[in-house]
Amino acid sequence: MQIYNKIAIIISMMTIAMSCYAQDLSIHMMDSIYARTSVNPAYRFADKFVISLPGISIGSYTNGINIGDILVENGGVDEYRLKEGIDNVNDLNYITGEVNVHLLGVGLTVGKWQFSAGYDWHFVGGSNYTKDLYKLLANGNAPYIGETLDVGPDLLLQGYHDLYLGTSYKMNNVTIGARVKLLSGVNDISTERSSIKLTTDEEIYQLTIDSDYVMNTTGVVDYDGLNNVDVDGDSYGFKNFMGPNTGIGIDLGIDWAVSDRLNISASILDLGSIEWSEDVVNYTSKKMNTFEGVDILDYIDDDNEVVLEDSLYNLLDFDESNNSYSTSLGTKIHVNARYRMNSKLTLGANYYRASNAVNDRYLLAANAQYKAWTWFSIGGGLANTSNSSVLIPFNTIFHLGPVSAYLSSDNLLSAFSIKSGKVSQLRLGIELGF
Amino acid sequence: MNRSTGLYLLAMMLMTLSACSDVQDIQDAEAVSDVSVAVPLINTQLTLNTVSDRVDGLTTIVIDPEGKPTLKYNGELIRQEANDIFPVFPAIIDIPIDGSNSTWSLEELATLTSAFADNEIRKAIFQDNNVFFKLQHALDEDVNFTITIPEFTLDGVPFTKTYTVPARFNEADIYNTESSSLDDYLFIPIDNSLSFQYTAVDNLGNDVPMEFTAMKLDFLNFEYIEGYFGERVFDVQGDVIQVGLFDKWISGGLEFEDPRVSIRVENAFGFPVKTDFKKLEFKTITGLTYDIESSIIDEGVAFNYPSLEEVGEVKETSFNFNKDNSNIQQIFIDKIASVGYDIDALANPDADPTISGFLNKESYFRIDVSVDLPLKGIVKELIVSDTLDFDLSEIDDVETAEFKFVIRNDFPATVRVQAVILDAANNPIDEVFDGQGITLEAATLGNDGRTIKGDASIEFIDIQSDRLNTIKDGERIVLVAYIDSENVTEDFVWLYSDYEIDFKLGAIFQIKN
Repeated sequence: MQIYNKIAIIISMMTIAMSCYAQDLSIHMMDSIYARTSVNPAYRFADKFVISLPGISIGSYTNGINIGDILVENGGVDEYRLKEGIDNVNDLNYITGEVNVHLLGVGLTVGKWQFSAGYDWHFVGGSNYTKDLYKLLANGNAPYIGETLDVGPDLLLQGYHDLYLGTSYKMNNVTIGARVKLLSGVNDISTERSSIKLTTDEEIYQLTIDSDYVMNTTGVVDYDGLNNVDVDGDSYGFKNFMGPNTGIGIDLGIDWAVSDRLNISASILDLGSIEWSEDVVNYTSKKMNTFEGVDILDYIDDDNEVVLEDSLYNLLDFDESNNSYSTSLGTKIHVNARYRMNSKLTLGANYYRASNAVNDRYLLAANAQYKAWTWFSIGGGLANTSNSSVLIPFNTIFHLGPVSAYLSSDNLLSAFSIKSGKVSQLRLGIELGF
Repeated sequence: MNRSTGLYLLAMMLMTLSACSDVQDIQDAEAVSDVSVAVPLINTQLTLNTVSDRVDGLTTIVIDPEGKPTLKYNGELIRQEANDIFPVFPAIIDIPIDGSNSTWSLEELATLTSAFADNEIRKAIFQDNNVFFKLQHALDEDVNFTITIPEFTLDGVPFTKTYTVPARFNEADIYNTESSSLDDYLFIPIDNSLSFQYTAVDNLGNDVPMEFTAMKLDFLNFEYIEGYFGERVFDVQGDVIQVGLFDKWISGGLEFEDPRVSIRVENAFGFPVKTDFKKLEFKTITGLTYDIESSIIDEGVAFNYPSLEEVGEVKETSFNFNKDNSNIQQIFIDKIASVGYDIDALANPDADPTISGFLNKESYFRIDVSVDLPLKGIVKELIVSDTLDFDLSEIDDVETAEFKFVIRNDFPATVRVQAVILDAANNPIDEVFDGQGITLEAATLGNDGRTIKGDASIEFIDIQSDRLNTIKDGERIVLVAYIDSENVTEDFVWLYSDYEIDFKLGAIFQIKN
């Protein structure tokens, strides 16, 4: 029975964790910094030579419940109760989080050319879960006797190293850019197929699982029944750099100066894939298993203890194989238009679409950037997302001599309340420009 | 700091404080689960067919083509081989050969070795034997020695061997010839005798008198022997068959219409053998013992045996003690716990030497003894009980439980079950079922003596948290079953192999933590 508690806690923690992360809506407006090239390789930095110091970008997106939906106060104690969030759960729910750690980058301007190189570490996690799964975890299966619940989650938990080399070339009023990324996978858990249907029979609640589920892993999952799933989270650190899990990624971008005031840009990022070949374990379950209760005749004159739980936990039964597999990178598209009203104020509009192995999402934003002084700039806006939330993108930049420090967020509201945010994002960084 | 910068910093501080407050709430909160879980617990279709597939060891359930089952408690298999009866004898004695044409009667030979005792061998085939001769003459030159044994033939040719016996240098010199195999030689005594014919000549062909002549076999071993083997007793080891039927008995009775002790014999020896029961004793669950009364005990039973024309065949003999030839039915009313037996086999019980029998290396006899209980009986308010260990420590988080029973009984007997939970001191702390227990009503008996399959009955038992907490202290569970067929019929009734108790149990647990 404890499995329900374990899974409920995991869901709660995932929801908490993912609410802290996210997708770069306002970085387009942050003129002249090197970090901007991460969303469009055609963007140009202002200095001839730039050193980008360590920075971080974290973000999350969900169209399902948020922390506030399940966090309730009970006698002065805050409690997570999955039941509380059940009305806010969609039939199909997405949750995605990304962490990008920028370790170092350098940029160089040579006439119309600009070159960049650097290293990033990426982690992306995500899941699709059904309302049926949520109901099962929140209420148990007893309220759904006689029904079939679709409870198979899509899962993605992936880390990889990114060593990149980029360039842009300015031709009159058009700049084109490209970046090639040599990727090496740290570790991966990803689902290829994810159908698990649970039926509770009316007679004596016989349980049937009809599964068509394939989960590929790089040895970070140890599955020995539903009650004994071990994920080695520590293995997602700085490991396997230039290891056997290799891949190539490509970013392409264009920035068109339509007039002195208007720029339109577009980019497509993360085209490519990673081939996973080290310590691969493929967990496949394509079968129908039914547990009808124990047959006490099996225990006649037998000293074995009647163990019900083992039979229950082994209902989802996986075959293991060791075949290498590939995962595509989550491709992202940015389209942006910026209009300089005057030397201090710039207005802009963004369209962003992203997908990964388990889900896709979009955002639409209107931004304004105000350059108060030469050393300080601030931006804000309004955005709409595929889950209909209203976001308030925000950014600020400080230029202190050769040092530029920046902070941006896709949703200022989530900064005020982590509990209620469905979209959260934060990017921090420092650069030296000469 | 100007006003704009101040406002900006204030906004940042507000954001940070607000976010920090959320983070604190999130970190401090506890996960609380409140679910109701429905699981199947027991799903058993109890039929004698399914039980018979699972029983092992010495207990079996044999089901005849009509589906009538017989519960068999088997004794250990008894098997005796030819070597147990005619062991291989090391032939440690010399058979002296007196003169160039001498004869040994088999009776005389029997005085030299027990291998021939009480046996009249009329035909035999040697196996794994070697023969050699011990020879001595008085000459100081080689002597050619040729010996023939007319009773030993191979493909019709008598055994004949020629040896060169070297010159003798002192009186102690006795020459041992090389060994010759007797494998496959046929031994047919002529006039119930074994004869030797030899010649001993020097290089010039002159007869030489032998100082000492003897034959020696390394073993006396036959592949096949034909003849009369005398009246002898084979001590067949006995056994005690445990009848576990009443291991869990508390009270009440169980009567069988035709209980039996069955004996089945396989015999490949070609001579008459008869049983000699030394013991057939029945012990009750209270320790009383009964000896069976039957003419079989007094008269014995002759085993069938293959004739001389049926060498290699196995003859079967089956007989049993039953209600018609013994008092076994009365004995079984007293709840038998074990049956002990000791049987001897008496060979040639009529001591008729004109009977010519045989045995070969493959000959054996095998005796299977079983207590057979054809399951046609009457159950009279039988109460049986069993105690099982019980551990509910794993359900600490369960607040309430609702059990659902779905039960169908095809047997022509009412079954009522109660479960009593005991604490560590064996004090009863709960009775699981209300009243006298959950009742599986007997199926209706049709005119053909078979029951009519009924509908399943459904019962719910709701256990609330207070009672559940009491039950959690339990360490043992005593299951008490009351069975009675007399409310259906007072006659003996067959428990057919396809009669089923369909017992299903599921539960909904309310779990909070």
